[in-house]
Amino acid sequence: MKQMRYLIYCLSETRDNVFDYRGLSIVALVTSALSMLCVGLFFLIYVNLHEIVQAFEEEIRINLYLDEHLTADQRLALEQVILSYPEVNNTEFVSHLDAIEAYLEQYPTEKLLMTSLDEKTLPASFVIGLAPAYQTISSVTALAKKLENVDGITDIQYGEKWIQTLWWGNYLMILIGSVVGATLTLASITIVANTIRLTLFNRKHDIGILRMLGATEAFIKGPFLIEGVALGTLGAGLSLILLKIIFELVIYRIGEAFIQKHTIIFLSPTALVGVIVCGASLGFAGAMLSLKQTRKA
Amino acid sequence: MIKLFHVYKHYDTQSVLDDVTLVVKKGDICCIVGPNGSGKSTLLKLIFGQENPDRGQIIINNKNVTHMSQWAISSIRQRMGFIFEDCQLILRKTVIQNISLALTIAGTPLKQGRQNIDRVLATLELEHKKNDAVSTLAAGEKQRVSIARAAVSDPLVLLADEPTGPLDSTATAKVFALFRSMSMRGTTVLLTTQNQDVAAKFPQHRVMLNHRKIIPQ
Repeated sequence: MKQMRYLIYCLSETRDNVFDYRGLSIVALVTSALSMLCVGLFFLIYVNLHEIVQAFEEEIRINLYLDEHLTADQRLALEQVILSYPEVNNTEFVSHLDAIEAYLEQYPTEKLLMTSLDEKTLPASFVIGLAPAYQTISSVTALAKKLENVDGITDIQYGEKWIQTLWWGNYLMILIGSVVGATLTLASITIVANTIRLTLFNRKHDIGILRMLGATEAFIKGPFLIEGVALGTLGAGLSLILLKIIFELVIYRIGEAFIQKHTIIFLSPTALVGVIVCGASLGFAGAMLSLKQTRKA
Repeated sequence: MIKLFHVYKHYDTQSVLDDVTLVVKKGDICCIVGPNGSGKSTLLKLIFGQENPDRGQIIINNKNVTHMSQWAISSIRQRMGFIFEDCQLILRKTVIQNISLALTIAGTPLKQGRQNIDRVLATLELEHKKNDAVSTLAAGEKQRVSIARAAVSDPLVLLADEPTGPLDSTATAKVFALFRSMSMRGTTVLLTTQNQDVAAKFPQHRVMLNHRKIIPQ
């Protein structure tokens, strides 16, 4: 019952603080919401890029182009060598003629050009499927390096440039997101701290009375901590609403227009809870900062 | 119980209290009478732990509160009531919010708290004002709210600095009746006044504070 009475007191004080200094509270709320919106945007892009990279990694095939002078026996021996690598799940032989056929299936208008091509231009190849545990860009690159020096293989292709670009894009998102996120988080903490500091300053007389009545420091700090957490949590909630609107109106439509194979996704429920918890922590940190600096308010 | 032994206090070069010794028994009402600047308010501030004496000992309910830590002082204050000369109320809050603040801090259970609030509001005739903001009250009403807040948690010790200054005779009589009923329930009451008529109401234990020293009456 004692805790219940204190909780009621804290909540009513928080309501009074937010209402009495509503201009300031709105500024703190909007700033933290915008900060978390920026972080959320980067996170959303990162999540989707990561999904795309993962999907690409699962579909990775290595094309090993073979020496045109390779005999059937040598080719079979080479296949055994390739299959001995743990990273390799299966191999498929694609002859020069199969390659032409596949090309013509994709580009039927270029039949005339194809007839003039020899085996050097479109050589026979092995298409390697990777074992599930090795379907990552780093494993593919490592395997490609190992196969480079194997006799009978003239060229190795696995769309490395495209995958590397995606990979670096993903890393860049993490980097930019972290820097921007850290900066904006600091800004949010500072703004929440300043809001509470100002409230504390304006409540100096009231705090003096509370001390006279025997209130402990923890009792006095309670409402201000709740205020910080409330501002942070509401800011996070607002940022998620804005993020969802931006996602539906912009990101999803852009994704649909430019990325056919993959569906652009919103943040998972766990990530949404994570954003709210981050907001609450940010508000708590801001409140703690102001209370630490204003111990003798 | 309040005990002060050889207490000294000075501000800069000005001595305010000089070798003050005073004992107020549990459930007793002690009235300290003295002119302006005689050190009455300082004496209460020292007992309340708002200031520290230069020398001497202050004991409240067998606890030495001289130079206590802030945390320890907080727990002592939760069992004390203080009526300030300037009321010290939170103006943005209502009468009932100001009064129940003392109960919240003392951790009084809600049900008992409600009964106490009803009792003090009735005694001090503040029921009709209970939902009014304190900022809208007259000086006498504010003083009654301050008294109600100090009395509501049934403190072990009640310190009252010129409690009836802005009150009319009817309200003053009600406040003294409240003090007497609290004293009968075991609260030790220490009040200060410069008004001899007020002091005359408490002939049992009346002391004079003059020229920085206690002079028993």
